Order: sequence, then structure tokens, then C-alpha cells
Amino acid sequence: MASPAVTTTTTNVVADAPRLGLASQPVYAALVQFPAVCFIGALITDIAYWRSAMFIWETFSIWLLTAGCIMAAFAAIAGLVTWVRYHHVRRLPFAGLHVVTSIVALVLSIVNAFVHSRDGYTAVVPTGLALSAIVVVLMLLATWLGWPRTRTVPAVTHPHTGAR
Amino acid sequence: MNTPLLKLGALAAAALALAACDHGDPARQAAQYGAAPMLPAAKNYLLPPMKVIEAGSWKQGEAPSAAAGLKVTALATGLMHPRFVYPLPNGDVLIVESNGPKAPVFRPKDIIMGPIKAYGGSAAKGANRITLVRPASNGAPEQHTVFLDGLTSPFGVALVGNDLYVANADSLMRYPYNPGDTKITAAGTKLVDLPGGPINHHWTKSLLASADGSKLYVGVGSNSNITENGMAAEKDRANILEVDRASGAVRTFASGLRNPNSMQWEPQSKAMWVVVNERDEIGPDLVPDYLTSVKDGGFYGWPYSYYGAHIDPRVMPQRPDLVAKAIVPDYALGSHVAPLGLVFSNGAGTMPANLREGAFVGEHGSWDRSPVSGYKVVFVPFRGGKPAGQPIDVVTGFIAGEHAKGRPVGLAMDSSGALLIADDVGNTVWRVSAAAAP
Repeated sequence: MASPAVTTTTTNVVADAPRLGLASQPVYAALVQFPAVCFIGALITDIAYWRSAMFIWETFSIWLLTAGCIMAAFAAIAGLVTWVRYHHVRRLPFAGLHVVTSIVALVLSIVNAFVHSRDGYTAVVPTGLALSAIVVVLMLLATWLGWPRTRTVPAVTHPHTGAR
Repeated sequence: MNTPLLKLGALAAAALALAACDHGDPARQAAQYGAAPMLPAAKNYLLPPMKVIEAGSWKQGEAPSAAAGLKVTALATGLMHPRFVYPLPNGDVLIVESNGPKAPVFRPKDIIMGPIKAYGGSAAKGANRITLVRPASNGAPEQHTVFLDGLTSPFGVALVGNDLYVANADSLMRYPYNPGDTKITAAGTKLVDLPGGPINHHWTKSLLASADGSKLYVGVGSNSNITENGMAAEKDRANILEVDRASGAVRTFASGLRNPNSMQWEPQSKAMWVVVNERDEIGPDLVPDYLTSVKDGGFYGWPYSYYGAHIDPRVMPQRPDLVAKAIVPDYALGSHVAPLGLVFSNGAGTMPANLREGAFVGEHGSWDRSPVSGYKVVFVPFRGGKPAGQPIDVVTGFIAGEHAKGRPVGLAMDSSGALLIADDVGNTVWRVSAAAAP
């Protein structure tokens, strides 16, 4: 059985609270995959363009960036709802940093979509390629910041069964 | 927590605002006429400067304004996007009513740019036909007939003997014509395919016959702004092609001309001249469109460079070997004025003295600079077969308030020495003659 001190903490967390961090919010967790895949894809196709100067790779990149930005906007709405609705999410370690890093990545990607809308080589090299790389690093960072940290979440007791 | 975010947002907003406020400098514009235009450094934009004037229409009785000593009357109104005008030897006038084929969407930008340019009237439906106008004479009333219908985005027309050639956006066609005909019903014969779809970015195919009638010259614009659709899409493009009239054999006469239109023979030197639309999106004052003589085998820079050795960093791989050969064009007309029409004054009588030796240029007008440029017909004086002096505004007043009532495109001189102007937004062909003349 838990000690009284732990029980006090637990009650709050348990009320609406998955212990798996941001990944526990299914809508946000599902949507946030799309920009991750798209922006990593854009970096890969940017590198392909940089190495080959084949325009088709730049076309891939701009569509990936556009799709990524649109899906990221939906993820941002889901994230905002989660943030406002769930008190415990705001208190998760690094949650604020996850939000800031994600938003910076989105803003840079929107700028990057404008850069990629230029005609010819300067649509990618060097600014577009650099932005694509920075965004991927920021997204990896955001993912790490929002990753479940079971060890840092206090152990909880199920209020009815008592199971841990 | 929000501070870095705010800073970044402010930075992005500032960058966009900066791009939007990068106005074309009027002083710079004035320095961009003639043989040695001032060329500022090329810029890259997040959002290139744009100013599109909404397409309007002429009210009954309205007309553009002409320079002193000239008057403007409507030769034909109620047309469907007239782009080119071609007088026949018997005094009849052919009017080519046409617009480009539907542009495919390759990039998200294409979805956005379509409606922006359509706002300026570029998406209006063309009739894909040629209308014949026979001016009233000797008591006979003016006559309008559908001369040739069912064409594919036609632009250039040339008559050689009894063969009438029409340059569609994708083919060069020959039709039988006899003086006095008001209608062609023959199916026509294809002389040769021209570079066409599926992109066909610069679709207008201008046409000019050689003096002896043995060759036809076809202006073929590039398939992109600056190779963003790949070099494979640029095969035979940004060229003036020479087509052998008897065999249909094609050879490249001149290359590196991004969008060459309305080739003409200069009356004194007998050299070919052309107006060319230069590249976009590297600044409101880059790159000046130009009027130039065309040398057989000449290379004029596109896409690798402009005005000789000014390299365009947007093209990769570069071709220093071609840049080294690039010919500097003869006469800059100003940035983004969009010259599409060119005709030499035939010196025949009725024009005022200062408009008898030189070239009229129809400037369709800009979309990517502010304030706008073009939207007028200018005259470039010539002496001894070469441009001499600043351009003179001949027909202006196409813009009224917030609207472009018309936009000039193709030009021609009729048999009486009057200037004809195809006005595609105004759906009118204007006739400009000496104020005293009939």
C-alpha cells in the first residue's frame, strides 16, 4: 500500500492522468507524426536535390513541406486543446519546452515553404536545405522533450483496484 | 517562454513586410532604358514584390489616350481576348482571339499564382479563332466575319503568297487563302509540330516570314520562369526557330531568348528584331525586358545569364562556356513591362514626323513590381537601323483608377500607315492615326 504522502500526490494525477506524458493524448499524438514524417522527408529530398540538381526533388520537398505545415496546424490545434484541457499535461517535465520547440519548428517550416517556392536552385541551396535540417533537429528535440518519462512521473495507484 | 517565439514571429513578419515593400524605384526605372541599363544586384525573396491591377473594361465611348497629333478609334470591339492583329494586303484585318492553354499545377505556388494573375485578366477565355474585319469603304459598310475557327491558342499569323500560316500553341498550320476571302473552311495542313504541352508556360508562338518567303521564323518562349520545370522541358524553347517552308525542316536560328515575341524585319538594315520578356522574381528592377536585333546563331543568355555575363544563381549546373558567348541585347525597355508587340513604323505618310523612323512596342504591363510598369505603347526612335534615344509614350491611359481597362499586346501597321493595337483585357482593337488623317 502507498504511504499517505504518495497517495496525496496520486489523487491529483490519477484524476485525469495518464502517466505516459504527451504521447498519451491520442489525437495530438497521431497528428504530430505527419509533420515529423513530412519534414524529415523534405530534408532527404533537399539533400537529393543538392547532390543532383534534379528539379523533381525540389518539387517533392515543397509538397512535403506544404503537407507537413497543414498537418502541423491540425496537430497544433489538438495540442492546444490538450494543453488547456489537461492541467497535468502542463505540469509534465519539459512540456513547455516541447511546445516552444514545436512551434519554432512549425514557424521555420512555413518560412521554408516560402523559400522552397522560389524558382530554381536557390529554392533549396543553401537556405532551404539549412532550414530543413534545423527543423528536423528541432523536431527530434521536441520529441525527446515530450517523450514519456515513466521514472519521473510519481507512481500512481488505481483509485478503485489499488493496482499499481 | 513566449519571448523567443515572439521574436521569431516578429522577424518573419518583418521579412515578409520587407519583401512586400520592395518597390521599384522610379529613378532606377528611368535608368533602365537603352543600350546600357543600370542593373541592381539580384535578390532572393520569401515573397517577391507583386502588384496586380484588377482587370476592368472600357465603357462605351472610352478609349486609351494618344500622344499629341494622334487620335485613337476602335477598329473592333466586343472581341474575345484579342492578342494579335495582322493586316492583309487588300486592307482586311485579321484579329487573333486567343488565350493560353490551362496551366498544370506542379507546385503549391501554381495554385496560388493562378488566381493572382487571373485577377489581372490573364485567365479570360480566348475564342481560339481569327476574326476578319473589313473596314467600311466606298459606301460599303464595315464587315466582320469569323475567318478561321477551332484553333488551339493561336498567336502568330503570316501570309506568303496564297499560303496563310497560323502558329497555334503547339503546331504551325497552313491554310489556302485568296485575296478577298472572308472565311477559310479548309481543314489546313500541319507544316510542323511546335513545342507544346503539357506545360507550355510561355505559349505564344510568334510568326514571321523571310523576305523571299522561303523561311518562317517562330518565336518559342521558355517553359518556365528560370528552369524550375527542369531542362528537359526546355527542349527547343527560349529560341527563335527557322522552319523551311517547303520541307518543314526546323533549325534553331537564335537561342537564349526567354520569351521572344513579334519578330520583325527592320526596314533599313533588313535585320531581324524582336522584343523579349526577361526573368522574374529577383527584384522589381531586374531583369529589364528588351528589344534587340537577332543574329543568326546568336545566344542571348537565358537561362544562365542576362545582359551578357550577369549570372543567374538560380540555374544549376551553370554553363560558363555559353555565358561567355552571350550577346548583350541592344535596347532595354525597363523591368517587367512585358513587351509582346513590335512593329516598325513604315514611314508612310500619316504619322507625325517623330514617329516615322523607329519601332512601336506594345507593353502588356507588369505584375511583379510596384509601382507597375508597362501598360502602354511606346515608340523607340531609330537612326540608320539602330535605336537612337529614349522611348516615347505613344498610347497610354490603359489604367484608370484601380483598374486596367485594357492591356496592349500585338501591334501592326495597316495599309494607310495607322497603328493597330490588340487589347486583350479591353477586348478591342484600337486604331491610332494622325489626328488630321481620316
